[in-house]
Amino acid sequence: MRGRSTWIVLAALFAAGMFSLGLGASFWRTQREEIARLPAQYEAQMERLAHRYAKGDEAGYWAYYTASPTWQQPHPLAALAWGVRDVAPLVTWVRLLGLEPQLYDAPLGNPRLQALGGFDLAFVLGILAPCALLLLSHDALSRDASRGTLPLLAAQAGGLAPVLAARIAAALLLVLTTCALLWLASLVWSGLEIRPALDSATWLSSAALHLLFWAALAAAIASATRTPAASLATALGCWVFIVVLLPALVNLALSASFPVPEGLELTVRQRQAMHETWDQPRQPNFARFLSERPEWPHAKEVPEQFTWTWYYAMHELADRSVSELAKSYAQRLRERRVWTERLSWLCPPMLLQLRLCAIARTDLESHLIHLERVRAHHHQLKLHFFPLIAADKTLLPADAARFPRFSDSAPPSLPPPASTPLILLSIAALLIVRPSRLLAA
Amino acid sequence: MIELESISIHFSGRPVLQNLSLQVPAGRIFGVLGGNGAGKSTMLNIILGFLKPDSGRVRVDGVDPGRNAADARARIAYIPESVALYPELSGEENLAYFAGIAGCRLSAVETRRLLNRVGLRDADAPRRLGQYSKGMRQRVALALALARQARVLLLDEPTTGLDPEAATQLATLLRELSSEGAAILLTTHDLWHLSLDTDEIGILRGGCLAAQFHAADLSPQQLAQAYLEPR
Repeated sequence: MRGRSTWIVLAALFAAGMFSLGLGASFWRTQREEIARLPAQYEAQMERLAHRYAKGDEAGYWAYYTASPTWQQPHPLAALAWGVRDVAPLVTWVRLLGLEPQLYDAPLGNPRLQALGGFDLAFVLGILAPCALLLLSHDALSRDASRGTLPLLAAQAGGLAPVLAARIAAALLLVLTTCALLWLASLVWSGLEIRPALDSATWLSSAALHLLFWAALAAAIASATRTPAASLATALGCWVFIVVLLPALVNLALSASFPVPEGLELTVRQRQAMHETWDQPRQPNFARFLSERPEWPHAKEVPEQFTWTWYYAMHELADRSVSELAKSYAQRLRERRVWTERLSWLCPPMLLQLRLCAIARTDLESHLIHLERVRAHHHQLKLHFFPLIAADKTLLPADAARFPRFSDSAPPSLPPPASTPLILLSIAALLIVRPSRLLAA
Repeated sequence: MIELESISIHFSGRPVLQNLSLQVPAGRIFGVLGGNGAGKSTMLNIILGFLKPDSGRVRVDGVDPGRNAADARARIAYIPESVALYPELSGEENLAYFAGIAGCRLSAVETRRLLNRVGLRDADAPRRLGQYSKGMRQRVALALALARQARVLLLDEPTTGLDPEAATQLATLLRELSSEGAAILLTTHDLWHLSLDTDEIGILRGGCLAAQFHAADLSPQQLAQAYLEPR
């Protein structure tokens, strides 16, 4: 193990890790603070409405202007694996209007920055740590082969396998120690808020298992190449293929196999349906609306002039017109997730990312579950307001206290993908380790 | 001791060793003389277990290196033709490192003692290997053999590139080791030192042991004549 270059690689890895922790802590804190401000923002909004409708007004007005916030509280580990949290809207303000456009209404972000992905600790452990390990261990034997020390080395050790194993293990230990230090730093940084110790330990052990695969690969490379230049080129080639090309190929294949309608498409179609309904005869559409609203038996007729009942019915009809598309959106995303998990058996960094994000509740499934909760909250708004609107009720400021509010329970969780493939791939890589070939050559 | 019995090996269909048999008992020095490509290094690689012969029987102190290379190598000290060590480490660090790999933990005092015994001065021990001559590097390798208390010593062209004084000192050291019971097999082109410093001499030609003599029975001139006789 070369002295200076080893420490430079480890220091660079540690520095990258600390930088990612800083970004992660800031990301997590910002999200928490923004969520913490929501009750006050909601109260301020309701105060404005109370002032405007101090003497009471139609329920339709109250429903139109009342936006209730929905959010997903970040799990403490979300600071270490951002997953889809940096691209999905943090807060969705939901009104009684059509839901679909509201779900995909997010603050504008720089798409180029978003395409780069987050520089979180999961990235450092999943992408940079393997690179560091390969840099430290790729020439575990080729350095000796090029210097001529290989025969003497093999003659002392009873073979090259023990030497190779010891050197790869030393490199692995150094990288693992650096990762463990980063993990400890993350605990300190977050004020020891990472309480779910089991999650936290699983998180780190997943990263360790992933590094085990790379160590096995490093051993295979070291035993198959005879010069440091060849081993470095092979190691970097493998790294680029596994962390860049393979996930890109998987993504391309999945995008082609499971095309997912864009949120924008859903929004446009919903709005189009809404506008078309304006110009159509009201009664047949209203009858269609009532067919799924048996709780409104008294609202059979709809007048020609504007009524809130008709207005919200149009919104619901517009939502219904894209309901199949919306279901297909979630279903296709879930199918993609399932296939991503299956294909990640061939791509350890993908599997690690999936595991880390699932444990941190920042994966796609957590987001889809959150969207279902938002839908459920929207449904609660309908259940509360529709009867009041249909009955032409006037609401007073005091009635606002009974408006449904979103309550965020513990972040949803699904079991993370199994880590068995990491072990199997490590064994597969070890099976092609044949250091004796170097001596025979 | 070293026993080779009817060893044959082919590379890409070309015979490199054919029915090679020889024995080196404990306490004896056997020198193998042969031209380039005669199969000397291949023979050493088979004894070390780096290569497996196509046929024949090999024993190193009773152990078959083809089946149990680690056990066999534990009994062998091998000094390649060009002793390559780590240039960024000192002589004593190299010795300690390689001995450590072989499972011998040496104290600083033991390391110095071993280096002194092979003729390296205290001032040389902490110097980096980059500043060592070939003879000095060879002495470090010999110190390694001493540290491991190897019962079998293999040397590939040990006197190539050594000045006469260093070659003579090497011969003295080898004689000491053989008197302590080591079986020593060396390969060389150096007729002069071979006839003076060994007990048995074999001439390897075309992968076969063409002739074998007691070193005491031949002068260097007679050995040269035997080696250069029409083939």
